[in-house]
Amino acid sequence: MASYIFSLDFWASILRMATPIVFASMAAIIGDQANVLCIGYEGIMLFAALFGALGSALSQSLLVGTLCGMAAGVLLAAFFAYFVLYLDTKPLLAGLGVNTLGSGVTIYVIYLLTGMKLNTSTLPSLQFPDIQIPIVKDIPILGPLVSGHNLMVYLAFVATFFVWFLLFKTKLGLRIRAVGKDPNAAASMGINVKRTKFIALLFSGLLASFGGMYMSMGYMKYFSADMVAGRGFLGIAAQRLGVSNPSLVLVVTIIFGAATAFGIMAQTLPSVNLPSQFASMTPYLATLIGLAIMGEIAIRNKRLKINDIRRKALAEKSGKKE
Amino acid sequence: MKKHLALLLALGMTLGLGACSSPSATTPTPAPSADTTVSAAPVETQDKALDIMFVVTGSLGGGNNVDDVKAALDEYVATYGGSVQTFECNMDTSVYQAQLETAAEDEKYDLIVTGFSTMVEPLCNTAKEFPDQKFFLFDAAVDFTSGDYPNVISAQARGNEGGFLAGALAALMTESADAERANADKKIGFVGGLESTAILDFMFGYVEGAKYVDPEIEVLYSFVGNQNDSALTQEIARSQNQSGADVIFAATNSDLAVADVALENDFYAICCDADEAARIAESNVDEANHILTSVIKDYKGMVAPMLIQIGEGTAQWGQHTYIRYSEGGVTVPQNEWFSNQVPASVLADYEAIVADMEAGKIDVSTAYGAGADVIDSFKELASSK
Repeated sequence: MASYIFSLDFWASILRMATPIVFASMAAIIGDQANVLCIGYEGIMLFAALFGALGSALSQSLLVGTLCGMAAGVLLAAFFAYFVLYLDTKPLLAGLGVNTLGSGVTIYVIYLLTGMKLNTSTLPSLQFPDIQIPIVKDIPILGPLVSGHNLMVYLAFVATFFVWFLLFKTKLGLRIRAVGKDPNAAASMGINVKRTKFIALLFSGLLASFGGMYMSMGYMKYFSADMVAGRGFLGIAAQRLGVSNPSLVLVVTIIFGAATAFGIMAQTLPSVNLPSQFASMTPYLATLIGLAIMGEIAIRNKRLKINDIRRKALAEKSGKKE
Repeated sequence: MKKHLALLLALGMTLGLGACSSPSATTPTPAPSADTTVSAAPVETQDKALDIMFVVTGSLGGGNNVDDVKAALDEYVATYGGSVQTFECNMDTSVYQAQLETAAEDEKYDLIVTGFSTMVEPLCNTAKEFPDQKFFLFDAAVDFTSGDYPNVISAQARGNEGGFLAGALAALMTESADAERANADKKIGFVGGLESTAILDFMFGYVEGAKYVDPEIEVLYSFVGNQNDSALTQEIARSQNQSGADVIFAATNSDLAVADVALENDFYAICCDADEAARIAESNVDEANHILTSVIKDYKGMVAPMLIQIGEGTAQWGQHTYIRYSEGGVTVPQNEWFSNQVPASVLADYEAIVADMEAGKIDVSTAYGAGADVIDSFKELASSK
């Protein structure tokens, strides 16, 4: 068991499991910074997964496929944003709508195209390539650790950097955070609150789209019904656990990936043979434990802060007396 | 203008919601999902005509087993007259019983058809309530020992017998020196979708089949926890392969995901429910050449003869029928992709086992009615060397 945990296979497995969650959680970070609760990432990812695969199958071009997937995901995100921002729908309800719509429409489309509701395996869609990094790949240990993964795995790390840069190093990012923190103050400074939130949600949809496309064009070679299977929600959980800090969230998603990979391993290895039900609940268990720890830390911090204020107030009082 | 657009969008969204309101949200079909009528001109005498209501647990149109049942029903009414109506429950277990009751209350159907083990309880409750209504349950068994259900008939293919042949084939392949992709380990794999009775039944057969060939064969087994997560299914197959399994039987809707890994990591996959190799051969010959065979329950073959008996009035009501491998209940096709991969030395041994199965010489344990202790003992047997 230990030999497996420290093997490259296990590491590769973690990266594969974590990648879609990274994209979803980065999407969730932008949504959260703009202070719009979007739970529709499942639906957005499904849309992008399907239309990315279809686009690549019909055009036989990976670029066209990627653009189709991005367009589909962003369109659905725009749909959500329009409802929430301009029609004043409750975000939770609109998000639910997007998810059911995503699941239903994608199955309907594959049914129309293939006559089946299970998958698009009969369509010749394309896959993102695995990337061999020159020079690095020849270094022992480090080489296979870093090189040879799917293009999307690397893009996930790029996305993490992109989200950090967008939010903390650009004017738009500052605006997004401003409208998220205090829309009234932002508006008084002349920022168009709705438009800024709208743009934030489009970015959010774009990131989620990549997560979806990884599922159907990286992980798998085709789209299969409901293949996102809760990864959008896990992304939101990771964003919560990482308190919307991109690098922290990245760490959390890797922990999620490890929890899933561990669950699989513990179930498969005859020496362990964990019950399958337990194995499939490991990522969720990890979330719960993480949330409990986060909550504990938050409470402690609050207490420290209150004590601090009290102490200061006391000091001031005694200072005055003297 | 803006208001109109808003209204339009709202309408679109409501429709979207309405069309796929089931929890698993598997299907908006082009026609409304309830009550699709296929009436056919009666060709023969009227007395065999059956007005049938088919309550589908999932949804039609997936190219899956329920579509085969539907085809059998359609063929029956095309020959003998009558009509077929369907209702799709989209895997929403909460409406199963309500839908059966509604159909029974209508009193216009000669027969209500439904299937699978999740329907057993709703069906039994409904059958008690409506003793004059006839019911036919496929791919699951009703407990008739109490004599409570004289208006019900149930039939089931022995999935475990198909699993047995898959296990025997896998064991022969993993031990064969002639099989190109077999490694030195005496290990084979089993990936199940859900840990449900039907899938455990496959597993029981698979384990017994492997041990029948060689008791030292170890069977790695895993359950994905759902039928849709093809990525996780892949990951599990990969993990089993890395642990030494060179033949993996995928008893899940996502069986192709296992075949994908088989192609990638060069081992053998065994699929289920449909002849997957034949289905994908056109778009992906390489992958078809990694699928040894598929274990297919023949739903058409299961339903058609029962319908004829019911129509003729010769059916044994209040009884359960097992349709064995020898009677065509399950098939394990030996197609061209099978022949491409299975070496002659293995084929001879395998065909001897098939012949024994055909002759009914082999008794395979079933997961239907098995308690938790029996299931555990099978899991232990699987990992024993």
